[in-house]
Amino acid sequence: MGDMFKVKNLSVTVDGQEIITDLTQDFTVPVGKFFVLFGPNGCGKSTLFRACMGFSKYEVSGDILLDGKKMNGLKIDKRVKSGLAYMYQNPPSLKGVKFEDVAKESIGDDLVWKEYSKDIDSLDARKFLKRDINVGLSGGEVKRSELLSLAILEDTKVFLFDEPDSGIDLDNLKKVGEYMGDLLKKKKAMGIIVTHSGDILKYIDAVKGAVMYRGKIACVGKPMEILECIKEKGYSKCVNCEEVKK
Amino acid sequence: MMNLEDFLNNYMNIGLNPYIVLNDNEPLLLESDTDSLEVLSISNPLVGKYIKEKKLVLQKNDWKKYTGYFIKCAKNSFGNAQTCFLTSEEGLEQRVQNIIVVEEGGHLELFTGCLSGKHVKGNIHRSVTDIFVGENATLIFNMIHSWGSTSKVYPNVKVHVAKGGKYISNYIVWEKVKEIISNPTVEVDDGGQTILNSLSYIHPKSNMDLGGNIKLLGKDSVGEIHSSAVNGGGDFVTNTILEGVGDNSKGHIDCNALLLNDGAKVTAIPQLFSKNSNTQLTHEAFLGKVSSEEIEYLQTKGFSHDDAEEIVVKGFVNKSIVGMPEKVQERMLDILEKAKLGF
Repeated sequence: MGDMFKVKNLSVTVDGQEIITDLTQDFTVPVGKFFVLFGPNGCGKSTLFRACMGFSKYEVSGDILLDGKKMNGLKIDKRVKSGLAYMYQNPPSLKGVKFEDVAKESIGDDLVWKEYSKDIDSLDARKFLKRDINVGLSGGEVKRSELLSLAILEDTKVFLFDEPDSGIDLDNLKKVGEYMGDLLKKKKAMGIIVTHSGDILKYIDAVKGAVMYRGKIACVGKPMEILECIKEKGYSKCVNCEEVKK
Repeated sequence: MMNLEDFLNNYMNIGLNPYIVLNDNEPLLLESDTDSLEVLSISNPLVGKYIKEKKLVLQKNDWKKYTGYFIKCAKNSFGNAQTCFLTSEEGLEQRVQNIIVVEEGGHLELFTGCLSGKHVKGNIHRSVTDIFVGENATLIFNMIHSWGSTSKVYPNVKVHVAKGGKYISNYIVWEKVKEIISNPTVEVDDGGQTILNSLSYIHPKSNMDLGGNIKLLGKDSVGEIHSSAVNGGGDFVTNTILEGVGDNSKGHIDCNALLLNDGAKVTAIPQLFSKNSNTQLTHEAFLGKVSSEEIEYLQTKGFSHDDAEEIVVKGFVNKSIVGMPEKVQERMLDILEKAKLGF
């Protein structure tokens, strides 16, 4: 898999403030594998994801390339249909909108929806299918609900997971991590994941990582090595890390 | 008279008996009397006799010709019925006087529809309705409009809720109408309760003034007004008034309105009057467009902007009909499905 997902000279401005400056990075990893993005709060990781998805308020210059196709200018749903999917860190609650109703409308066929029975069970999701989306759910349930909503998308090539391990307990961490790996294999897709703690890395096959610092990539290398380095030295040292110097 | 085909195409029979139909200004044809429910034409002399005997005070009208019904649910009885106002002549002004009485301990559920034939233009519906909910009695009054796009509708409703009684109104307008002005007044005695729910879709060039006035006269009386509106480009006003008079009376007003485009206009005027320091009255309101955060969230699930907006509006409707009778919810969802939300 070559050049499945990369950004070129990407700058992102939010409310007049430039958060990402002239970022060029190839995030491509093989099918079923993860690229891990580390970085302190406010360094631009979520901004990168949201800009790539085309959310409003994110002014973008430079290129966002999915399998060679430019995403810039496309509406969010068109990017999704092109193969780019996004898992929220903190999704909004939709009162009066039931998960199952939306899922069926998305799929358009009750019989096909039944084919997701295994996914529903893997994510222990039956209890919130008939509830309003993200209303009154625990942290773990929100993450599992998000994952199920990604599972029903078609033709996804790249998944962007925004802190799937935040705010969940150890049982959910394992469930979420293992499901994410299965999802990539099933969809024949790759994933990019943002994580603070790195706890989820033991459940996923992460083969490449980078540290984002002040809107730029400060370090690229093996995820576990980067994580150990961050734990030992802190993010600020990444700016001068050996990998970058090379 | 409206032809049968128009009628069946427009109005959903929810299968209740009796089915009371008031056509134009013609007298009610089918009267009925069972142990629990009495239905009479307003012109029946027995109605006047009952009013006099019970010393009921009615609103006045100076009409020479009008139609109307008298419905009485007997003491400690349970009853339900569906009613329908029809107008079948172009430009006709239908005039209706209704009286509804639920005697002590009774429980009545009414499902009411209003409609005009497809060919009928410029019709007007005026009504004067007096409702008496007796001690510890309950009336659930459900109204789903299906007037035509040129219809003008002016109901004048006055309700008296006696000690421990309960009056719940579910008022739904989703299909096209030119103008509706509906501001019922409800007086609530000791321990009585009233809830006025309204859910409306305001089409372009449509004027809607849906509110209500609740007078919490009795000790421990409770009143709520919930106005929900989706405005697709018309003019929506909601004048809501709560008057706290009785000791320990409590009331709440809320208004939620979604504005789907720049042509949509919403005015919410909640008024709270307290004449007793021992009352508790509150209000809250949200007027605004559909949340872009919710739209974008649904777009990440593959929905187009328009489809996402439709889902959010449908969610708004689902929230608004929670607690309404199942038949009303089913009918509302059916209307939504057929109308594709009307936009």
